[in-house]
Amino acid sequence: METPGRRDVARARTRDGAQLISFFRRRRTHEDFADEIEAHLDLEADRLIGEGWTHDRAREEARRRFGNVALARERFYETSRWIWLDQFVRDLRYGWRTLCQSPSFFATAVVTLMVGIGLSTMAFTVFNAYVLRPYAVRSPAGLHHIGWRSETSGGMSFRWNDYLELEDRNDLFDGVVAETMKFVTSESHALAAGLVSNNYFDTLGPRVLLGRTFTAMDEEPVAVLSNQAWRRLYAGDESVVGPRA
Amino acid sequence: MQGTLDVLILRTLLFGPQHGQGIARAIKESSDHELLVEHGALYPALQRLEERRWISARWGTSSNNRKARFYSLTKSGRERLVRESSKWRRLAAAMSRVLGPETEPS
Repeated sequence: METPGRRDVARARTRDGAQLISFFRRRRTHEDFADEIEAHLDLEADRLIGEGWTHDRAREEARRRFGNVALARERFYETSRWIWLDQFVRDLRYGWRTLCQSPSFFATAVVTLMVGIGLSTMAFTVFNAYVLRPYAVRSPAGLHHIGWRSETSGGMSFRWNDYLELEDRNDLFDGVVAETMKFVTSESHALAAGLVSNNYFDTLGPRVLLGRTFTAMDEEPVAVLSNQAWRRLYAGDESVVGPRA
Repeated sequence: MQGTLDVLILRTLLFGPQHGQGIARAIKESSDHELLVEHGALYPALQRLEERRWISARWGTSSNNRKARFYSLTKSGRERLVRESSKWRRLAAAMSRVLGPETEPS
């Protein structure tokens, strides 16, 4: 009837739990709960014996007053916060065993998932680069490309004077930048260089990794390298910033 | 009624640490045997209160040298009791107003 050894173990466990684990308290064991019920029945029986009941009838009465012991244990199990964890771990184990029984299915599933995830990642990367973040500028949605087309011939390019006129139209745009592309050769490397107006970086506001861009204050021509060109021509050397090329 | 047992337990523990069987007895006696708690229902409730940190528990020895799990009120349990008590007092007062004075003495 008495199992003092087991109860001592339960007590030690509870004490550890109370002292060591403050937030993620160790889950109270079923044994501990069962011990508590047993202790209750003993105490109640003691009291009834004190009131004049015989030993056997006192235990019986204590059990009757307690009600359904199995139900109490079940409720204890259900009130515990970790019930889902118990079941989750069991599900995982079951799943693992099932997979191990059919390795070819296991392998097929893993490969299928790998390919699927890889493709999705790739598709999203492309979508992200071309649709979600097309330009690394301050407000891509407000960016417009102005074209010029005559009725007789095809496209026409803007001349500098046209640009200056457009730039004065503050009622239409927050800022107007001019850009033209030229292929240049630098130290036997062919480069695509964008010749841009001096307000280019102020207006578009892309991020700069090193050094500075240029502003409308600059008198001397300034070159800004793209990250790609910097890595390709100078192998990412930080000392290229500053000296005049 | 939901929450009744919680308040009764917290109230009982206000007088000091007590084990489950003692709590059951105290509730019965302090309510003039009006409130009978099935002892089995007490323990899941104690467990719930313990998980909400309103009471704390540790194994100890009872006055007649039995091992028992003693519960005591925590600080937040005390606060909870104050809030719940005033709620129950208001509810009880409202009920007695609605029911009116006793018409026939029993």
